Amino acid sequence: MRKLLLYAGIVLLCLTTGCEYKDIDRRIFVVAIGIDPGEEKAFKVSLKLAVPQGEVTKIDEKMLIVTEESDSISEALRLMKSKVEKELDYVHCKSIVIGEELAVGDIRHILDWAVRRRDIQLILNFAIGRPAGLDVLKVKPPSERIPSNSLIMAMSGEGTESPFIASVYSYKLMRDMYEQGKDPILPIIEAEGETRFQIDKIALLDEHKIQLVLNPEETRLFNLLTRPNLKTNFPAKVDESEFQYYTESSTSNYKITTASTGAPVIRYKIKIKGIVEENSTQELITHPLLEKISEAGGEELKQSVEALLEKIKDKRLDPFGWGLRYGTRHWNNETEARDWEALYPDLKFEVTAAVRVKYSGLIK
Amino acid sequence: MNQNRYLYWMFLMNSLLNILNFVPRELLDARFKGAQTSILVATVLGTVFLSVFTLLIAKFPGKGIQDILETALPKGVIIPLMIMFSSLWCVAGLITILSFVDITLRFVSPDTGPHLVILSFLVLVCFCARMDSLSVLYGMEMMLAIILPLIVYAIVKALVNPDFSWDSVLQIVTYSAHAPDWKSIAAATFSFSGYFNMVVFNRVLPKIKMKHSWIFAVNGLAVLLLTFYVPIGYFGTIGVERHVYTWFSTADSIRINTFIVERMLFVFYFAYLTLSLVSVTVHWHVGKELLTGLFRSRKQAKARTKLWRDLSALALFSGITIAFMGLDQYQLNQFGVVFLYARWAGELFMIMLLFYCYAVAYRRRNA
Repeated sequence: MRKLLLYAGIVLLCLTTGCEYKDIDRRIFVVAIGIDPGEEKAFKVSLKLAVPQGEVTKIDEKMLIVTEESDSISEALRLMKSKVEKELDYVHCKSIVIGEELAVGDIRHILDWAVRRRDIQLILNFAIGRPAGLDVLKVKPPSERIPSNSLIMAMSGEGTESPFIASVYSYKLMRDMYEQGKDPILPIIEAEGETRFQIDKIALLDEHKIQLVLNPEETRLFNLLTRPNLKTNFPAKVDESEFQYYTESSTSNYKITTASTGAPVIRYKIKIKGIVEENSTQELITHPLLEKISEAGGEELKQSVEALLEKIKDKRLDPFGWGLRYGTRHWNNETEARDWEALYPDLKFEVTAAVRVKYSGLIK
Repeated sequence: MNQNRYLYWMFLMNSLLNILNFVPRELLDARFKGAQTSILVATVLGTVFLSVFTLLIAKFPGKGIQDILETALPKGVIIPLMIMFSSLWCVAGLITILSFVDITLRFVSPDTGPHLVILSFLVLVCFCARMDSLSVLYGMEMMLAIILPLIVYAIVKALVNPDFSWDSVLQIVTYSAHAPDWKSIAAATFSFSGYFNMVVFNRVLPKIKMKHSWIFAVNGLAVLLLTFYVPIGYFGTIGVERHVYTWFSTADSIRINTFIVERMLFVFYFAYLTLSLVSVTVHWHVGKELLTGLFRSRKQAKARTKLWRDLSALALFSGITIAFMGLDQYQLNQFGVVFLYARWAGELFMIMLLFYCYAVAYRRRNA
């Protein structure tokens, strides 16, 4: 009996075909997807494909871009199956770049597709491509060894830690898109020719399309307000000399105070510890001067943050989730959303920036 | 170590398994209504059920449920009761296995046929469920020791993510002032029903005692709160309802920077694959023991007859599972909800039966 079972088992084992798994040399990996409006059809979908290579030491970047137009994204991908000889594999896809032209319309369709498809990760970077998604895919920096790796490194913060880059995973985009009292953001990737890109702007969206694009300066302030320990530098002007200080640590938080009378106030508190990085004059930095730098830096930061907040408020956007925060502090769930809508136009901002420049660097 | 730890492992296994499919979905569907108060009510009810049941069954050391019932009830009543209870356990395992086949196909291996996946799970489970009760318990303990660190790691990693939206969680907390509802309570008490397996394992754990019931309460509450709040932190108060396998999507949203694999999904999948297979093994072992108990004869049966009995019971369970494979996503969900209610009613009924048996035994002793 036992032996019979054993033999039967061995015979059955021979029949298994490895879970219908296709070998790696029969697959081609999609590393990035670009989606633009088509010339005739609704979408022009481009895939950046990485060709698997054997030896790691001899890797020479090999990639391929295929493009197809169709009225639906999945149809375009199916059509592309007949343009390559290998099976397209999406599990390693790390970025979706939406063309700017499409993003001023509606991106919910694309997001829905990307989250619904089971083989596309939820930790995939969404971004807006300028001038178009395809142009961003075509960028191939000379420093890159694995296809599309530069984009992945830049967005994940594992390589460069730029204060101008904000990365948005698809689960986060979806959360903010549906959340009441919070609006999504998307980073903008600009292609500059075939070898360089620049990621230093973010787009603020309302429910589904671009409403406002922040310039690099504002983007940095936005990042300062949304994440801790942003590594960057800020200016401080004392008398006629320009200083730049580097932020060793930074925190920011806010409170919404709604007194029964008067306008609701959002109080931002920013705390920065810094070190002087650059001095435009030959002046020696003394302790009083260090304090002056701190004060001037704080004042400058306060004004620029207030300007940014006012600019966002004028567009009636809410990328920081103020509305959601208002909801967390109020228990009248049926009416709080309407209350917030009514309060929003009267919002006032008070920013306190406590900058403390502690060191003058290696020299005085 | 004393035998009480097995009770705790059984509890922990169910408690962790609730994340898999129906429980978070039912609770999250009621997130703007009574989900949070239901969790609190379920914690109290679940702990009471667990404590009362364990206290009662500890009065009959070394006896399975059939032996206990035979002391007080006529044979004609016991047979339908046993069939009913064993079908409950069969369905418990069946639902886990069907959900997991679905998850495997969706998240890990879309190209594999569903029949191949389910067959390999069934073969493994049936072989393991045939072991004797103590071996099943030892195996469960081992497996828990392997996967518990992985699950704890996943949860810690989920909570320390800077993108976790605490505001969304707090917003849901402000929705907590609603009356609890039956559906959510039935779903949440599932987290506590691991003790129910004691109906069979009491035979091999004669020294079990009910101690430290607060540990079960605290642990159960913590798991339920995590089950409920973590997906909200990842998918927001409104977006969360769009996800089907909420917890697997959550695991897919967690990125591990420095590890062999970047996606938490695979770590989580491995842990839950093991956990669900162990849980199905335990459930079907109990179901099989209940069913084959009906054919027991006075004298010791031959090993061969026992083998055939076991195999036919398990083959029956597997057959039912394959028959249920035709259900689509929504039908499976409805079936799961019906099971959640049925299981709860079954627990209550079992406790009442045990209480009756205990009362009869008590009267006999004092008469």
